[in-house]
Amino acid sequence: MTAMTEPRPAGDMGAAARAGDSGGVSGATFRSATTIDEVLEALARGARIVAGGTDLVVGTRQGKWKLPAHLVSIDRVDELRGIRASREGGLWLGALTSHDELATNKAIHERWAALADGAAIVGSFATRYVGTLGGNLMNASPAAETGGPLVCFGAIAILRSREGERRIPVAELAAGPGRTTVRPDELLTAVELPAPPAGTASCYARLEYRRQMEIAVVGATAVVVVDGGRIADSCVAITALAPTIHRVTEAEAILNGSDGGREVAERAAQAAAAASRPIDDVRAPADYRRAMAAVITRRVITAAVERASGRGPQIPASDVLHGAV
Amino acid sequence: MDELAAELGMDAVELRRKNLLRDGDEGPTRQILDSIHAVETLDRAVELIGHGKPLPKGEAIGVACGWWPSFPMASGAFIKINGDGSPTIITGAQECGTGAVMTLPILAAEILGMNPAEFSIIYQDTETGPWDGGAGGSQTLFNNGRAVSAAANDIRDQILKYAEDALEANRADLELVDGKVQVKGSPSRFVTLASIASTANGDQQLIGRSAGSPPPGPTSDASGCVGRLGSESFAAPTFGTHAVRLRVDRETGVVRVLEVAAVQDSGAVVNRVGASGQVTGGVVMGIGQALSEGTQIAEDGRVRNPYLLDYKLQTIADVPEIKVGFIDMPAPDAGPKGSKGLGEPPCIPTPGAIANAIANATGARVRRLPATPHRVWSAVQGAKR
Repeated sequence: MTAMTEPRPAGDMGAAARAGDSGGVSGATFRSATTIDEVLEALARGARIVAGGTDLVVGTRQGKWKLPAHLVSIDRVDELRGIRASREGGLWLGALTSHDELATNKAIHERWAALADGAAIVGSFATRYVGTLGGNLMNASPAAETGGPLVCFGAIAILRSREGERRIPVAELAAGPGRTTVRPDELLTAVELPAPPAGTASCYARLEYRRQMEIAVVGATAVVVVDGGRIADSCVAITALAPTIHRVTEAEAILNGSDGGREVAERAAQAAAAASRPIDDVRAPADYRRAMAAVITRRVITAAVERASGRGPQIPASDVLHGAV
Repeated sequence: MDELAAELGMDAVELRRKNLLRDGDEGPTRQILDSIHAVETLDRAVELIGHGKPLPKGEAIGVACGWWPSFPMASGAFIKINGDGSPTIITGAQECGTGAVMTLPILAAEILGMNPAEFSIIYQDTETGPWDGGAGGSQTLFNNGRAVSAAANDIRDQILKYAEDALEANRADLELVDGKVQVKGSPSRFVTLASIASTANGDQQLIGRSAGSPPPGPTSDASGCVGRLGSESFAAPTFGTHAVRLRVDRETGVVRVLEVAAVQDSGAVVNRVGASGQVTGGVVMGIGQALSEGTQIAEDGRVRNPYLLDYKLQTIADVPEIKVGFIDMPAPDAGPKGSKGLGEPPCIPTPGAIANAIANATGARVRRLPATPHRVWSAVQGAKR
């Protein structure tokens, strides 16, 4: 780190960050809020949110974006914390819920296993203790590990602004890589998981190159509702395979009504690969990603079907299923 | 080597055993290889990994051998005895994580009859320390260890001179034990180093210094083709064999290393703990080179993976069981106590062993490192056709 000798204009933050300088913005403000109302007020005045800081700060240091001039920290807003049973038998997840909390929660293990699978492999041990569910979603990464499971479970994002509350499906939260449909004056306060139907089982897995400090090269989620040995309903979503995490209804149509066996899983997986629009980047070329979309999707479908009958990989599946052999 | 063995219908380990350099063999430039133990590294490594025993489905073993020179060169050290009798090593050498500098007190302590833990070390300071070539070329302990040993002998001479006067005894009858000089057979007749230091403080000071003499390099003849070897002969050459057991996910190309046996002939081992740590670290770096590291350059010349999230070192969660072995035999014309360089050698054979194991597991050969999942997968796809 070089010592900063003179104030830099705000516009130079990116360059300063690239130079390894923590930087500083003349006239910048940082406010640590303790209530939702304080956060909303700061947002109305143009502030941006920081929670765990595992994306915002790291990205700034890497020169991906400028550190916003006005920040409101929400990590002390207790109203945003906690995992609670909701009225309709679902679960209310405060936006500040850490990945570690998601990965170790008993109710999530029992009824929303794919979410535990995803949360358990975000970043490193440190990332999972500090990083939050709200941050993971609002960062709108196409590779976010919790995105696919939440989309498939029909999770609802609860947004608050000074004008009131707005509820939208998590599936409609991301607009593209790093972009959301959320207005600048809105705060994601919580995510609600509706109660899954009886017979629901699920799995999320990713292709990864190492066991910690990893990002999904390709990810897939499968949720199946099994009734009498048949898949009554299903949801398949793909991760890191398109600008946003999204469902593959063609794959679901193949699964629905079937026994969920190897041949069906393979066909559904091929449908997922066909629906993918992967990019070439530093982590993998597109053709490999597309081929892996089929492999990983088939594996999560099979794992979800096995879990439905009380077998299948441990929850969370880390070390057992995803990329790892 | 594995492919040659396959062509010959021979076991790849057997082909290596048959062709490895042995004691008294002649190198490519007529260097005579003296007291080398390459074959022993092979035998120990394959034994440690359980080569030849049945493996679970999907697992395979790969073996590779490597060699590397030591680099004799100038290097200097001071040793002083402080007023309280405590010793300080002042060296120009750098500690870059190999443990080489931290090993220096072991050498000096043996000569001065002290405990290595008593030494303080002033290092990587070019203003106070004597000249050193820097941390590179697997030669810090090789050369600076020699200088420290020579400086220890220098100060030992000075200590004994003062002790002869103080004890009215001949130096042949004196020994250095536990921070004092005593008369052999009469330990009650002694003088402490603190006492000698206080006398010396008003006189010549107790400061040992030396560079020692680098060992002679091997004779060689470079009139033939030396190729791009860099040096025409290998001074105090080191040898190693690594054997790797791994599993390949054929559908994704993801490789998981399960166990590595790494056996080095690095001459006499001066610091067992440090040497084992160096080999363990070298193997982990070797796994990274083999599977996940590598700078990627974009068309515009920019580095595509400048951060450790994308330049993928192995994490501690990826590290397999690593069994380390040494053929602990002193080498001629080598470093202190007959030791040879151990900085770079431990990461040389690992990638080759991994590449061979991948080929044994899949029947497909990856010809470029790192053997990323994409490359392994592509090779497996190619072999299917």
